[in-house]
Amino acid sequence: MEKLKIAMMSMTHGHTRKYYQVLKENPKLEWIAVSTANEDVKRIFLNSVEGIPCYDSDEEMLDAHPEIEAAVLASENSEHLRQMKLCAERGIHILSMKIPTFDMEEYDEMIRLCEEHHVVCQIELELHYNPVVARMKELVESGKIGNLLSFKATNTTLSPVWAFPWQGVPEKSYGKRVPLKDGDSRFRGGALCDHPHIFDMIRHVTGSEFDTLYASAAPNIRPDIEEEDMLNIVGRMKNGVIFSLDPSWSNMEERLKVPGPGWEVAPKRMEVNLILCGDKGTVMTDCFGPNTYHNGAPNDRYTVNYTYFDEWVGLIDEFVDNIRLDRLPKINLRWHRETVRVMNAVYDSIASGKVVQL
Amino acid sequence: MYQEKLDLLLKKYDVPVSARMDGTEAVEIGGKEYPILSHRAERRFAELRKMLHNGTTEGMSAVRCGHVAPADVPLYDLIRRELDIARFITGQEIVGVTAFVRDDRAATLIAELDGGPVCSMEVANTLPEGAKHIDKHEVITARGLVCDRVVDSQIPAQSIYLYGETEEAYTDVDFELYGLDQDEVAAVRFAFALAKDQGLREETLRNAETLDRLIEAVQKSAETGERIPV
Repeated sequence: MEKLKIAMMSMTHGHTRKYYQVLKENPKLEWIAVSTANEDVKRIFLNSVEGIPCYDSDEEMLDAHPEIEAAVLASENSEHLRQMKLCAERGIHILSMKIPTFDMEEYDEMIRLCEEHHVVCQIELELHYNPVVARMKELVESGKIGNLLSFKATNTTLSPVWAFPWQGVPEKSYGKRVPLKDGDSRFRGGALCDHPHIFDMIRHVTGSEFDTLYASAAPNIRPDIEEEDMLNIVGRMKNGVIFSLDPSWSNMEERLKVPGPGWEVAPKRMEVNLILCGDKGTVMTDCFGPNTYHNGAPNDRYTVNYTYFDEWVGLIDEFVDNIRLDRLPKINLRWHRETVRVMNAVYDSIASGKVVQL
Repeated sequence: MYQEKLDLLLKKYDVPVSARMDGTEAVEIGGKEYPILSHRAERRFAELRKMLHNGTTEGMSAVRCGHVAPADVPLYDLIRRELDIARFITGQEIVGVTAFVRDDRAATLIAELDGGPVCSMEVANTLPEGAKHIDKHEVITARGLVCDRVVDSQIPAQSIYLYGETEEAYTDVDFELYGLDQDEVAAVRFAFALAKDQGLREETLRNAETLDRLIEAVQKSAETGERIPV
């Protein structure tokens, strides 16, 4: 199979550095170039990776390298439509970050662009390439816990806003400045926008769609940010499965400009735990555990050192195969649209204080 | 199964080497057999080693290795593995061992490392056959500890617990090699690393010789009741 000539754009997304190793080591890829959105991310990139041409604008990079076949849009959410247009019109395949956009009109424009120009657009939802999730799904499908009754999921992390400032700006994260609810000084665009995975995973595991939900935002544990950082959602799927979802930034962090050792104040940076209860049993899943642990430098705090974390290997393998074998990505724009619509409904529920029917 | 997974990696990463792997003990590469020191490809040990050498900790003092295995695992295989884990994560050589062994079912020993740390080790093959291994590795330093088990726990955590008609637990750690258990993944990864790297093949043969000498020393210590310099 011919190597896929790939580029990265913007380099402002929190997942940017996850690609460094896989883009260099995956033999199916030839990493052609990157474009950086500002001097800060350019400096970080040049300090991290050697030998990859770096440009100051997306257009400059694409003009200089007409051989580019695919691009990772490692950018803030507000840049995605512009970059998708740029790529689709040149026939460049797209690996989008986890939220293409929260604006459903923009979202439909993205679908139209990609279908009209026949480019693959895969959404980066890396849990689909996690071996623990694969096992959990296999166990549920085997019938060992019987008919699923309830689905509880946490997708909690530290807040990335200090290292990736766009995530703290409602216009860049959510796409516009929308108050969380009347009388609340916060705006949409915080922890919820960072954590679509569990909204996707419940659809994937149950094979059902959301029916009703109720969401409530708790007081911020970081009073000085503009967006919500703690929230909970409960509700029911169309097949009757009830759920409880926690996509909070509940794991307190040091306010580092560049992620690195010592980022944690809470012992762990993130967790995705799923508890599925069926009429014949229960399965409890820690998607990123067990790990190794230390209480050494730099802050001498007890810290979870993530040990098994290679989701990007499978994700990139699938992306290359989708392009070369003309396959529809497992997580494509049309599949993911409902997840984004439901996340908007979470904000609607917080705003109205009422249960939302989907 | 192992051969199929190894072939998958060799093909995917364009490694033009002929390798044959029938089990998790050894791999034949270019007509020569190499022992598989699979723990050296387990990510938890790579991470412990990293945290002991990248500035996260400093001033290694004590290494604690514990391993209880099912009854069908030979005791000296366990000792051999744990001694090599201590060497691997600390990057130091063992210069003396003092061992007590009971009925080839349980052993306690102290191994002294050339940089000064002292390693205490307790191994046994006293679990029922088919049980999951229980092990724990911890290094105490002047600046913190590193450990492959969560604080305040005795047994390894698993990724998944299933409570139904039966109780089951799973830990899956490798998407490319999905379907293999943790030990099997490590064995295939180590065989792949050997296939890729001539230098590692030579180093592995040297490590195997060192481990042979260490096991002889443990046996001698257990027989004589004396500390045996290595």
